[in-house]
Order: sequence, then C-alpha cells, then structure tokens
Amino acid sequence: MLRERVAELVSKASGGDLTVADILAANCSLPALGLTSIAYLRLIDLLETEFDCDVDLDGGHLDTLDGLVEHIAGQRK
Amino acid sequence: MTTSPPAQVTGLTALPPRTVEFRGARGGQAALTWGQQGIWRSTQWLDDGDPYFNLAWTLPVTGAAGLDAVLRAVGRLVERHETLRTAFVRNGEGTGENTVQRVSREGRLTVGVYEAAAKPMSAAKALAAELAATGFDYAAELPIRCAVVCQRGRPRALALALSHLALDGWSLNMVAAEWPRLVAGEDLPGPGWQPLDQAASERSDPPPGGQALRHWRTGLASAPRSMFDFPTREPEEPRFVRHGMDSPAVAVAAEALAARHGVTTSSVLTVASAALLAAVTGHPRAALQLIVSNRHHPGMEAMAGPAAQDGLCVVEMGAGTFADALRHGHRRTMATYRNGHYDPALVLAAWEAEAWDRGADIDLDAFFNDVRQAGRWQGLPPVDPGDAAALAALRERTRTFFVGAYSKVKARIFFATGPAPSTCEFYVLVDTAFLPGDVAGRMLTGLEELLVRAVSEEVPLDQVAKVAGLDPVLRPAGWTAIGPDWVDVPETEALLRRVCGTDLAAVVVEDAGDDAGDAAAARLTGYLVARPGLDTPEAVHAAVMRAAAGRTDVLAPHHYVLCTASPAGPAGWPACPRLIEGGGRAPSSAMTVLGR
Repeated sequence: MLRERVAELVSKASGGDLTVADILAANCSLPALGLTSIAYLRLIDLLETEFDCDVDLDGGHLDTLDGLVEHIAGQRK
Repeated sequence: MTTSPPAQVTGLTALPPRTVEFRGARGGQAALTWGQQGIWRSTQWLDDGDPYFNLAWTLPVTGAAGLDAVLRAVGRLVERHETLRTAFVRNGEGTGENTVQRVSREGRLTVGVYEAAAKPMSAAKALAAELAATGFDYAAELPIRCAVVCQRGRPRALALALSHLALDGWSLNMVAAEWPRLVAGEDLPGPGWQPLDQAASERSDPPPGGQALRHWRTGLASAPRSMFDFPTREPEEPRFVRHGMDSPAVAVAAEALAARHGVTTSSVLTVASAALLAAVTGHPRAALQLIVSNRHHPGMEAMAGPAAQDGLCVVEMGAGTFADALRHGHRRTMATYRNGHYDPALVLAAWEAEAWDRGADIDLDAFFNDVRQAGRWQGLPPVDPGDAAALAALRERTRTFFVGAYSKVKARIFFATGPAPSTCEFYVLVDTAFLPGDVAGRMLTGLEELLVRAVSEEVPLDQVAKVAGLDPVLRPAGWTAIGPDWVDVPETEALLRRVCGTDLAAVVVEDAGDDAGDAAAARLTGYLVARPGLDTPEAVHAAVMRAAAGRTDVLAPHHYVLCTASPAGPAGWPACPRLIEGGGRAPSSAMTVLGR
C-alpha cells in the first residue's frame, strides 16, 4: 500500500505528467522517468507532510520509487 | 502612478496613446518579501536609473481582437497581479532595510499605440527594448510600461518593459499563459497568492526557513572563503566578459549522463560547471551559488512576483571520477534547491559570523542559473549518445560566440543556461581581474569536451582541466593551503605588520591538532609586540579583519600571540615572552592570559 501511495504522490508532484501506472512499472530512476528537479522537491515536501518524516537528501537511493519507500518505511519504524 | 509615453521607434508610426484605468481587489503595504529583497539589493548595487534589471518582452495578439479588447486585457492583467501595481518606497529614514512594497489598488497606465508597416512582432521587440532602455523609478512609477503594435489598425503584439522587481522568469511564463485568455475576454479566477500574502507568511510565527538557515551555516563553514584565492591580474576593459555557446551535443551528452546516473540534466550542468571552476582554481571543493526559483513551495507556484533567492551549493571534487561527483553533486544541488527560501538578514548574519571566525570575507561570487522551463530540454536531435561518431558529428553544429562585456557585475564567474528548448544554450561570464576573458569561451568548449568524454569513458577529477583544455591558475611560492583556503602567507604577514604600524610582527604556518586527536591541520599564528590599542587578540583580530576587507589573498591568523618584545631574529618569535594570546574571535574563546 505504501508503494502505491508514494507513487500517487510522485504523480501528483509531477503535475500529472507521470501516471501512477508508469511510475509503479518503471525500472529506472525517477529523474530518468522524467521527474524534474522542481517536481522532485515538491515530492519531498509532500512525503514529509504525509508521512511526518524527514527525507534526508544525502541519504542515498532516494532517486527511485523503491528507495523512497524503503526510506519512509525505515523512518516509520 | 502613471507611466511616460514611450519614445519614438524607427519603422513605427505613433498613434495617440491611450489610458487604461485599473482598480484591483485590494491595495496595501508590507515589508518586502525575501525574494523581493534579493532583487532590491541587486538594484541598489547599481547606479540609479541603470536599466540592467529591466525585462524587455513581447506578447502576440492573435485572432480578431480590437484595440479596446487588448487595452481591457492589459487592465485585467494589472488588476489581477498586485506585483504590477507595486511601488518600492523607503519607509522613513534609512536605507534598503526600511524599504516597503506598496500596492496601489487603483490607478492609470498610459499605453502607447503604434502602427507598423510590416513585421509587427519584430517591431514590437524593438519597441520593447526601447521601453526597457530606461531605468524604472521604483518608488513613483508602475513597474510595467507597454505599447500596442498594430498592423492596418488591428493589434498584433504587445511590447512590454517590466521591472525584474515585479516579475521573474516563472512569472513571465504565467503571464504569457494568461494573456491570450485575457485578450479573448475570459474571466479568469483571481490568483490565490500575491507578494503581500507571501510577506505575511514569511513573518509568521515560527517563520519558515529554519532548515534553510542550517543548510547555509553548514555550507558557509565548509566552503572555500573564495574560489578566487589566487593572484589578481590587470583587468581587461570592460572588466566582465560573457561568452555563449549553442551545443546540441552538450544537451544529448547531459541527457545520457543524467539517465545513466539517476540525476537531472540540471545537476549534470551544475556539477560540470563546479568541476571546471575547481579545476581551474585548484580547489578540491567548489562552492557555487545557485539561483533557486523557490516555486516548489505551496502558494509560491501561483504567485506573480520575484521568488528566486540564491542558494549555497558546496560540492566535493577531490578524488574519484566525474561520475562520482555527479552522484554526490546531484544530492547537493537538490539540497540547495530545497533550502533556497530563507530570511536574507539571518543568512547575512551567519555569513558575517563565519567570516569573523574564518578570518576573511566569505566571497561566494560564483553563480549558476538554470533558466530552462521546467529544468529540461525537449525535442533534442535523435542522436544515440553511445554512437561516438554520431555525437562527434553533432558537435559540428556547436557554435560559440561573444555576448558582451560589462564594467560592473556582482559576480566573479557566472554560469547560466539559456531558455532554448532543443539545444544546450550555455553562457559563462568571468571577471577579468581574476581570469583572462578568453577563459569564458574556453570553459564553454571545455564543458562540451568534458560531458561528451564522460559519456564514453570515466574521467578522473584530477584530469578535468586537461580534458577540458583549461590551464589551472598558478600560485607563486608563499601561497599555502590552509584548510579549504589558499593563503598568500607573505602578504598576510605584510598585512599584520601594516596593522601594527611596525615590522615587529610575523605570521607563521603551524600545525594545530585538535583535542579529538585528529590529524594535525595547518593554522596561521600571528606574533606581534603588544601596544596600546592592540593589546588583546580581539583588538588585533578586529584590526586585521578591517584591513583585509574585500581581499581574497590573505587570511587573518587563527591565533594571535602578543609578546612583550620582539625576538633577536625572525625564528625567535615562538620563544618570546608572551603577554597574552588567543584566537581573538570572541571574548569567550580559549584565550589565556600570561604574565598579567
């Protein structure tokens, strides 16, 4: 469920340019999928608000959907 | 507030100007937003009436709209966006700190009307440039001047001159999107966020920007005090030189690298710029200020008005390959873009505190600005970046050119993209008091070589200058690396002696291990004979900092030793009887008093 919700937020951050289905199916990084810098920043804000967490940009692996999901899941433990 | 009728432009016949009356939903006054403060400070740095920050712009008028419809649309535009009816007024005595934004609820705008014999868009562009050639009176004039260009009586274009205090690139795109709908008479919903709202939000309790301030503090502490800590040269005339490049090959290579390393093309260009700057200036760490649009914040996305601020980006360039620097640098650029919204007064205070502690002005006049819409290209040539021959062939299309030379720019180097969507348009400006003007052009071709090479092979960071065909600056004997800074030690000693008014002073490079037992780091110790007025480390440090202001070659000693008398020879200073010693940075520093 978390993965789907993060994908929805990625889609929202992209202003709808990326669909949830494409994001879930992608096996590449979010920038490679077409997520721009500004959309990525929007996404970080959305994630922190929704999950009440700190997304550390130096944390690594935050450029993929699964990396973000893992990072958030780790913070919620 | 009214505007003056525009000047005459060749090729256009002036018709009687028209007056547009406007009445917005509200007026008001507030402190400047943080974004407004940034542009305001830049305008104050220039001479009064300098048009450098004016934007010349044209909007097409399509369809069968008549002059009255176009004038109505101009009125609606000014009514919608409070920034277009905002004056910047000094509030009482004092300087810029007391300047406020004052939104007029209603007023009049004089709009020129012209008939063009041919090419109305080209004529409108020339007219816009003419309108923008005169500086705005920010306190008394609307920040918008405009004129309608007609052909056979039908409006074809709107020529505009806008103050950068009113709009930035993002806002221009917003206005461009609204314009045809306003001309068509559509009743658009009002903007939900204006600079008055932004100013109130920035003064909420607690104010935003706490995390950004921490980002700045960390960056200031790790950045070199200047990327330009090497000998100056006789500047060229005019002093600042800007070159440009149009290279589809750079765009294709940057896209390939971005995809391969999971970063953005903006990060690729930023890190490449940082790598070139670090290679030329001999630094293992580069500090750039990035122009941050700040449009990812809620509300600010829909606000017409300046929102951009400078963000500090420090990228490690010491070891490894360019690919390593890309992955690390991408995270640094993202963190910078995320932390670009802050109270400039608090960052300035942190900046000054770091300078006091470091012992030198912190010069961060190296900039990068990515102005591409949405930060990406579209419609690039379909070239396989893995096909070396195809990429080489694409490089045949690269064009470099001289843009201009300027006498006054608040930057020592400025990297910037252009807005072109289907090629990499890139610019480099250099301060020729530090680097020869031709380095700007060579950095452009060097950027292309670096990125194209990095597509097909690993480029070690210590080979960047060679790959890019750039010559690292040479520092004569006596220049020493102290932490992230290069220091001219003999000049520093000469400075201390001037401060003392005598030759009875010396500056020595010493090892200083910290309490944690880490590897010893070099530090400067200044020895001098105490005298009235210069009898504490604090007094000496204050005097040295005053004398060193604006210099990028000297560094105030980290430790001052005030002696009772000078030694017989220069090597005897450390053994001299000591009166008092300490860092001089703060009264609470680890100062020890001896013999008192």
